[in-house]
Amino acid sequence: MSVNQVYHQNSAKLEEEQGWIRRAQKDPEKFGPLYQKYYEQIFRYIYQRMDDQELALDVTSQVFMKALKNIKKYEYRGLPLSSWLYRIAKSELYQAFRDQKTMRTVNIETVHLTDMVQEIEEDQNTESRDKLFKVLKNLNEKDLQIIELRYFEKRSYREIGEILELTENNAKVKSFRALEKLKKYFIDKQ
Amino acid sequence: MKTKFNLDRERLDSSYINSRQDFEKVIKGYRATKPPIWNNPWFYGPAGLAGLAIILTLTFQNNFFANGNNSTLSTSLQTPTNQLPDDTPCLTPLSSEADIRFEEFNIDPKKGGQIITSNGSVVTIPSKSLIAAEKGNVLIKVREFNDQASAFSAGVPMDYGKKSAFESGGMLEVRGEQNGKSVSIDVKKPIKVDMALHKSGENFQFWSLNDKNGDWTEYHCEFANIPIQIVPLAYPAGQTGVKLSDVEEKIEVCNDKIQTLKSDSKSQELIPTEYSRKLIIDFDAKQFPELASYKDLEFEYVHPLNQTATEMKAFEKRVQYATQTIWNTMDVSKKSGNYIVTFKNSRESYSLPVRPVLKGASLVQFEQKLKQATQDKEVKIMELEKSRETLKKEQAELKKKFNEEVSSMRTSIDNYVPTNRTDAPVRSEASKSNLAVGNASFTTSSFGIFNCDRPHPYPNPFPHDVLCKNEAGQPIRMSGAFVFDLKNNIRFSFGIITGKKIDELAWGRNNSTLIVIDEEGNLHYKQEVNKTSLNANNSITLTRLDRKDVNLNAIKKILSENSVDS
Repeated sequence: MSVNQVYHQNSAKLEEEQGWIRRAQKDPEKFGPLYQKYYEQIFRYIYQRMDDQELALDVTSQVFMKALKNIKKYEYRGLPLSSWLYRIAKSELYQAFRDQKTMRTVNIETVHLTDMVQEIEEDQNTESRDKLFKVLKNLNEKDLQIIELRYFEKRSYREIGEILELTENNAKVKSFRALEKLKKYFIDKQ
Repeated sequence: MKTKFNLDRERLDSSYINSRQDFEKVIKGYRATKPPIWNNPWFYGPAGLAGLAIILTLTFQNNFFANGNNSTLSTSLQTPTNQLPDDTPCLTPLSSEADIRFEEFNIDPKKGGQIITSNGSVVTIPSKSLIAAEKGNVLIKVREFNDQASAFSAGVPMDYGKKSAFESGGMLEVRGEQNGKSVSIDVKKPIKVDMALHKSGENFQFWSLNDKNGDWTEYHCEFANIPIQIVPLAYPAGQTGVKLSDVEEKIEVCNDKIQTLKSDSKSQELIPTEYSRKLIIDFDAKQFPELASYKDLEFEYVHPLNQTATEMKAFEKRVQYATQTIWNTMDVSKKSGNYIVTFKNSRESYSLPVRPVLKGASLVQFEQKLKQATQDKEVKIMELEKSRETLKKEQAELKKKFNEEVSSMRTSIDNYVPTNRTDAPVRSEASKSNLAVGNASFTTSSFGIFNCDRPHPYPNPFPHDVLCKNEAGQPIRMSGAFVFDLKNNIRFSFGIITGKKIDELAWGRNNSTLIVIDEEGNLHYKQEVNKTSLNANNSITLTRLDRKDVNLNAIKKILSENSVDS
């Protein structure tokens, strides 16, 4: 499978980002370049999981407010700032679900289903895709989160681990298990 | 949790999403929850120092004109008092002379205001936060316990459960009253306290005291550790700090420039990879204005990074599938800054990530130009690194000079006693020298005592009872005994309030001071107590201090903490 390049940064970019972070840590109001860099990613992450666009914009603002407030506590661990922002976003997002402000939504594109059908080594036809779309609903929230991050958002295991607070290996194992479950549901449905 | 599944929801355009950016809104939200300026180490830079000097001057002037009409200030410092609030039965000061005085401030509840204590703590009272029975000003009383002597003298319990005692990093009591009657705080408008700590908040928790039973309850607080800085009254004429920050800024700029140059990989973007798989696709140049200036362009698949062998195999399989299938159309589009080629036929659509690369003569020309540019870049980086080295040397010299100026100021502050105040707030030498090591911020809607501590276990009891004797060799009839661990600043209490029983009296390896109170209220003490201090019959001889001589200075002296007068 392919990995979405937008989430991957070379070491030089990470270093450049560190410069911005250092400045923001001295003066949080200098967070601007980081806000601009990550706004779209964070918004997409949130909007991917809900239907209400305006609420997604609000939650995104909330995420950056929290990030600004806590930027001094941020420690570089070899990953882009986005991983840290995603963790804040995840927490804010699930708070919104708990407050029943909006419903949890999973947004899938046909192309993702095609990829997944291939991953579970099934025939790539419309019928398989439709079936996969149906069996996805059988997954529990945890498995769904992993499938969503890995197959619909094309994130690396390391990044999934950072977002879900797992080790990279654990993310890989969980992802494999979630896919196995999906395969089982798929076969059972036949 | 109910989950809804959407298929192919319309994808929002990047330009639309980015048009909804509103950094101003985020900044406004952040400012509303911004931690106090005390949390910022740069507060203690030139601007902060000057500001603090003004605050201190105003405070002392205000005190000097205690009864004058100064309408510009919302708070006014009153004469300190010994009066304890009625609602603190758990506080049992050693004597009225030994008790810690409150600093008092008049606050107009309508306007609210900000109080800055002599210790540097700040209490912020929002407008209409204080609820009083009558109209008019409210008296806010604050006192801080910055050392063992002050907490002990005021009788503040320091036990945590039955097995531990607290090491305090800072403790503050805040009360409010109007004409002798207590006032309350509106729960919707809590007061904010930024408490100066004399120890770093690291590994400390925060607690509030239950006034009725002397139990400590954990309380939410945000710590901010300020790097060791001091609080000078004014900035020295040398202005070293200003120069230092200028140099640091220049180094930062240098670092950024070097990083930017090193990270400039944009020029590499159009060079094909060694293992490239090319695609010749007609694309609409108008759709990609960034590529309009290049001739001889083709696309290659983007090879995935950090993939496992299975994933690589799957990718190869995808490419193979794409190249072996007959497609009706192949379109290049751009999603989130990445190029994607979408193949379509009557049955399905299929996509792969791609990147534009140069070919033929354009590639050769481009590579030559790139080589020259890379050499120029390397020279520039070398020059910048050289300038950075020079700046770093300058920085080291300025830092040295700055530290010298700071220590000279520190001495002058520590020796400073306001001459226009006969009733200067209690401020021990220890607390002065450790002041502003950290800061604990919290909000509260009830008055009380707040403490930044960490619990330590009681020392294991000795296998025998300890017999405390006076200098005449007679046994002391103890009502309570206290062991002060001087290394960790902990008070272990025996026989009093919630402490251990008297017969469990013991001390550990650390250098400690033992204080015993007899049934008549006289105090007996022994400094530098350790395991060898016990005589053959497990007795220890203590020095007596008559109850009439027990005061804060005497306690400080016994505990080797500097006295108020020094």
